[in-house]
Amino acid sequence: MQPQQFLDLVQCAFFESNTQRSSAEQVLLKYKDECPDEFMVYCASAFSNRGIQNRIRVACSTLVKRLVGLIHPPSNQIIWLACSQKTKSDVKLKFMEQLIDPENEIRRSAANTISEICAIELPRQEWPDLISRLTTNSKHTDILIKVSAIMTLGYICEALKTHQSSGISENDSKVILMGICVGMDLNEQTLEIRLTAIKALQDSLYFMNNLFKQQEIFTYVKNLILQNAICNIQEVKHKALQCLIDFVKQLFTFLPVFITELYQTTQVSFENQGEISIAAIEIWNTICAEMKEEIMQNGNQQTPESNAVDCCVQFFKKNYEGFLLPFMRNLLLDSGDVDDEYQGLSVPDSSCKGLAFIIEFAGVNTYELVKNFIQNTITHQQWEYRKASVMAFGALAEVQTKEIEMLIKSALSSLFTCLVDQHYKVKKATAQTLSRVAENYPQCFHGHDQANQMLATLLDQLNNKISIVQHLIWVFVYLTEQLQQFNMSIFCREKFTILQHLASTSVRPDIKNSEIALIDTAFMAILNIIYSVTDTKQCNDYLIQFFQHIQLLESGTQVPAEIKFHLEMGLMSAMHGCVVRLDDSTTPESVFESIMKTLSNVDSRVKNDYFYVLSGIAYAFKKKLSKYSSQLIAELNKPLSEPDDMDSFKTALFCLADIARAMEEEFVPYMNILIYFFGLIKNPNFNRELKLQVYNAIADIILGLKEKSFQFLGDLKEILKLGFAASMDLTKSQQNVDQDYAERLKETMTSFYTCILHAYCEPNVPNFDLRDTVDWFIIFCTEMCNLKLKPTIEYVRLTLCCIFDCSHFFQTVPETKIKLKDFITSDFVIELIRKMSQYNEKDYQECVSFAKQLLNDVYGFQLKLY
Amino acid sequence: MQPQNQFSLFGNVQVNEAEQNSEVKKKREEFATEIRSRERNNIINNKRLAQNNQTNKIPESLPLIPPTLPQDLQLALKTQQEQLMKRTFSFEDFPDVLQKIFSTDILQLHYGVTGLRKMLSVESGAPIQQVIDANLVPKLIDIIQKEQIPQLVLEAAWALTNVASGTTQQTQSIIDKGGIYLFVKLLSSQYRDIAEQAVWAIGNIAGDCTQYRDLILRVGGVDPLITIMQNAPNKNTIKHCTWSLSNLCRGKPIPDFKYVKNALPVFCKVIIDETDPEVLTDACWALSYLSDGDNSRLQTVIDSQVIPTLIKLLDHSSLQLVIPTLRILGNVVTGDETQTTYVLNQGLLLKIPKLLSHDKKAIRREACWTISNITAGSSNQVSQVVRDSAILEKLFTLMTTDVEEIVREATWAISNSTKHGSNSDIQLLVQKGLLNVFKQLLEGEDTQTMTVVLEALLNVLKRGDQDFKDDNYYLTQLEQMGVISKIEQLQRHQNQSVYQKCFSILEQYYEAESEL
Repeated sequence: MQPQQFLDLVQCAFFESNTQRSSAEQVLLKYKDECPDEFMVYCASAFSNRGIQNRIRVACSTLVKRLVGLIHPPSNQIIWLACSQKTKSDVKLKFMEQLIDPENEIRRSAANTISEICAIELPRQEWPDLISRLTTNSKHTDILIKVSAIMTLGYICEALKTHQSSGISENDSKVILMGICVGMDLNEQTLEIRLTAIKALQDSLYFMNNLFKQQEIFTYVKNLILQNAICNIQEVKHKALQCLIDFVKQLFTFLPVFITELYQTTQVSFENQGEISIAAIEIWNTICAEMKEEIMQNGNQQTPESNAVDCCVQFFKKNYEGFLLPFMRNLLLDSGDVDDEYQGLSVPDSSCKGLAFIIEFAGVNTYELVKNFIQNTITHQQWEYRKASVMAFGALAEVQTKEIEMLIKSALSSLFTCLVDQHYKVKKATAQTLSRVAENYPQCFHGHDQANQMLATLLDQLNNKISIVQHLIWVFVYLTEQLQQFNMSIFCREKFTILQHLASTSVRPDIKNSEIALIDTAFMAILNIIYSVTDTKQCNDYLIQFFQHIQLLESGTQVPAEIKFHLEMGLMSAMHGCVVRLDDSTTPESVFESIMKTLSNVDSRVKNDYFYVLSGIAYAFKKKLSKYSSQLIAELNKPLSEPDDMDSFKTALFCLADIARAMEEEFVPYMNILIYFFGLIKNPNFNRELKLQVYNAIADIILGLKEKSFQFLGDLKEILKLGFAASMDLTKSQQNVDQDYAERLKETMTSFYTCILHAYCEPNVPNFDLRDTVDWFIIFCTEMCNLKLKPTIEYVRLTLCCIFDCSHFFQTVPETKIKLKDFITSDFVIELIRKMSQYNEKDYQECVSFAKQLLNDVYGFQLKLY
Repeated sequence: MQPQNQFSLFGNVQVNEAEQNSEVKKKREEFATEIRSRERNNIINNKRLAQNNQTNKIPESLPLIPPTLPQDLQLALKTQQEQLMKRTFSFEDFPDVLQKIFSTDILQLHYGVTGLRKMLSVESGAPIQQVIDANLVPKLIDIIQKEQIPQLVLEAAWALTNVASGTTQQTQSIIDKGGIYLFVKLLSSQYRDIAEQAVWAIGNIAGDCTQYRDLILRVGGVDPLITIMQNAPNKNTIKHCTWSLSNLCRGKPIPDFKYVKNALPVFCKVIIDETDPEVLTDACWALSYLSDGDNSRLQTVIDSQVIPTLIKLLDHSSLQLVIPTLRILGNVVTGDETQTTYVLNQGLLLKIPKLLSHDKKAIRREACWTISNITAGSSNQVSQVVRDSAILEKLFTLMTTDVEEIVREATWAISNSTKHGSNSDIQLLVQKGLLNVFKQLLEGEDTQTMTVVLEALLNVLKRGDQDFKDDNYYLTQLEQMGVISKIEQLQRHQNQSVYQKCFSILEQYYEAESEL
């Protein structure tokens, strides 16, 4: 490829319209695999060529940044390592040179890409002089060089933060940190240097975490940021406050040391300073969010984190007025332009969030203050006050306590008067607050003595502006989530009226593309209602109605494409909800036929939604589906053969499993697809998340086919063994992502094994070919369900049920029975049963009493529970 | 299992770039996942239910017209149910019923299937063949499989049960459509009435012929029946289940024991707990089949503590009950010495004299057979029989006065004791007139009895050799009684076996006259 040709492709891939773009992308992707060296060199040359447009130069730099870490299939290593030494030196040199390019965006881009290369090279000790060069430059007299060096150091720290071993010694880290801090010095006269340094510090906080354990370093850095946060230069102050947001998150456990100092520093910025106020308030919102997370994760354990939480709670209890008063005053501000949904956070929004946090942590003492504020403002002449009142109400509704429930109950009807307020912004804030109340206190709606009027008002207000309606629809989403629980409420009795209104709202012609979420939200509520219906006649009627609407959409052209897709997605989801309740006695075959015929022609963007309907039809139609099976399965072939489109693959996979289950042994002609699935499981390059789903689908398919699929037993055992082994391996991994995956894999494997047993064993007629799997399973669950690993109780139940299944299926095989007896009566299993006996839910209690009986009847073992 | 390095196989961390799941999709996915796992759990739990016979309890009976139906439909169904209960149906209603049964309207369907059931529930002349000819069997099966309202499932199952009570060919029409599997599945229904209906059907089908019985056994019909019995709310359920279960255990060829072994302790329990002669008879017949086998089975019977009850039942007035009871006890005394001793210690022998003099030949025969099993045991056991003068006298009487068949059985009982008894017991037997009885039997016509007697005689003579050395008292006695000349005569008997036995005796004690 010629350099010019390459540049043209880059131009095309980054800046042209859809069709050209994707073909250019394809060529480049292929090229990088075929000639990685040439590819890198072309990019670097273009980037360093000042004669080329900046945007193309940046694009070339971005390409290098994105590609260096990708796998190079021919050599099966990452691309950067597949390049020759010469290429690498050449590229690095060219990028380093651009750190002093006159153009800011070029310097930034160079720093960015260098940091990505560092992430590969530094841990391998392959760029030894880089750090010293940059730290030296960070003290350079030339401003340009100094700024670039500091910025690059920040980026490098950011890029290295996920690496276990960065290849940078503690001493070097200190040098980097000091290099950055020099730029933050209060005496630094150049604004650009100070701002860049603050940003670099923010980028490197995570990386430097270990250094902060040294008290003098922590204190030095903390003081430096706090000093910058009260700087007279607004830009510096803003950047420093933003840096503090990350600082308090990263160094949460250190808060007790400086919380008072932090409060004094930020308090002065709480009001009247626009985005500076937002940053100041967000620092505290971040602290509170961190507290919530800690409380959720650690419960009552005594840890440095819980100590910090306690300290903060005490601080808020003592100083709540210092937060509440400015925050509530902030609510009076206008949040800016009317319908601009793209604006970032506003001061009132941040304050409202903060208000809720402080109410939550400072507790019952704050209620009176907030209540008085709401009462004094809710009927105020000026709309700003009414809006502030409603927002404070919303903050209160974020916190769930008995006392607040009483307050909300008594004030809900007043809130409704604000929904019909003259002023648009009051209305909108009210709609938002109502949705919060519905989310956290649905019982206040369902059990209200004026619920009838409330429902009438809500339905009436659905004719309002879309920006208001959006929030009101959420009210219905939350209220319809609880229909079973509040089956006597007006919202339940009138659910079909609500459904009609929601359906009409979803097709309002004034919905703009930017407001398309409203359609999805409306359908969430519709789905809630449909899912609560079990009467087959109603399901049938709605199925027909939803279907007719799709037919209308398919035949017409007036509806904009984007809106049409969202409507069709909602309608087909609703059809799926209906059709699973039906069967061929409730609905004529011709209806199912007609649905399949029409929907098989929908646009590829809503194909997945069609597959859901198809799944539903499989439930309803059972074996009668066989008549159409060859056509249906042919439709599934495409998405099944393209696992890169994960969503479609997954949907088609489950649809296929549903069809197989419905058809039972009639699925035999198609069962060779299992061979393809076995291949996917055994393929190391196949996405591991999808492997879980493939295991699930195989399980369902064999459960339908039963002994007809006996011929695959060998393969099934092989992938069973693979899955067991992988679960055990990945649990030992140091990486969190691997451990999380292992959790899901082990559950999948336990279910998978249970399904194999049930597919091929009959009670008292064990399958001798499966005897060895019992040994594997015993090893597997002994490792994976070890109580030291804190398995979830549901996983314990799953494991125990599977163990009991083994016992039942193999109790007539003497040798296996003895093995199982030893296992089931071992301390390991007994402890699992005891663990489960501590949980009161029906499923767990049933399992325990079952276990007791099994132990007694089959093994003559008396289980004692404490 | 070696944990191989699968790390790479499951190590690729790819995140879905197009992860744009809207909330609607998430909600839908959750709903679909819930339905899928419910569907999967249904399959798995059904099997668990079938296998956990010892542990699963049938819940309190649920209403057959579920309260989850719309109110108006519930009311309409209940009203119609009451009306139909009073109404009778005749074959004239068949076209109407036929049409309604294919209706998609729930009420019409309910009317149709209930009418059909009532039409089939008459004592005689039920239109079974017409129902089959109208192809209603698949429809009824369809209703059972798909219908959500349990009342309809019950009516359909009931109608099908009535069809199953027809001829073997008519029953076959149900079996062809998977009826057996269906009914076995219904045994685990959470609705008690439906499960009990299936009990009837299974009993009917199993009683029809052994092929059907074996089909039911193979799909696991025994365990759910036992579960129902163990959780039976009333005696009627136990009665029906016992009948049904006993049909699964009887008939020739006998069923494969692996399928029915769980029923053995259940029958023992029924025999201990129940008093209804019909139930007891069914249970005892079934147990008599199941207890015919190796010592471990016999031990299960003994362990269940049923022996004392069985011995008491020997006094029962029902002949139909006494015979299988005696058969079970007779089976148990074929066991090892400890097992037989246990039964004797429970007082079995006390009941025997009365049975030996019972009016009914069948009872006398079973009693003799039981004794012969005991006398085939240890010398101690033989001794208990021989020294019971009531029994011994009865046996001698039977041997000399009863019909051929009983004579033969009684002779076996005595003959066995000559083989296994002690020398002093043989002396006692001779003292009581054994040789006279033998003499009389040798003068009879029955060659089979003769063979047994001759063998017994040889046994006695051998004991005489031991007791009296050169001067065998028994031999002298026989000579004096003319038995030896009778034996010489019998040497010319056309029956080879009789000739052989005679030859053996004469050869040992005299110079035999060779035929040649």
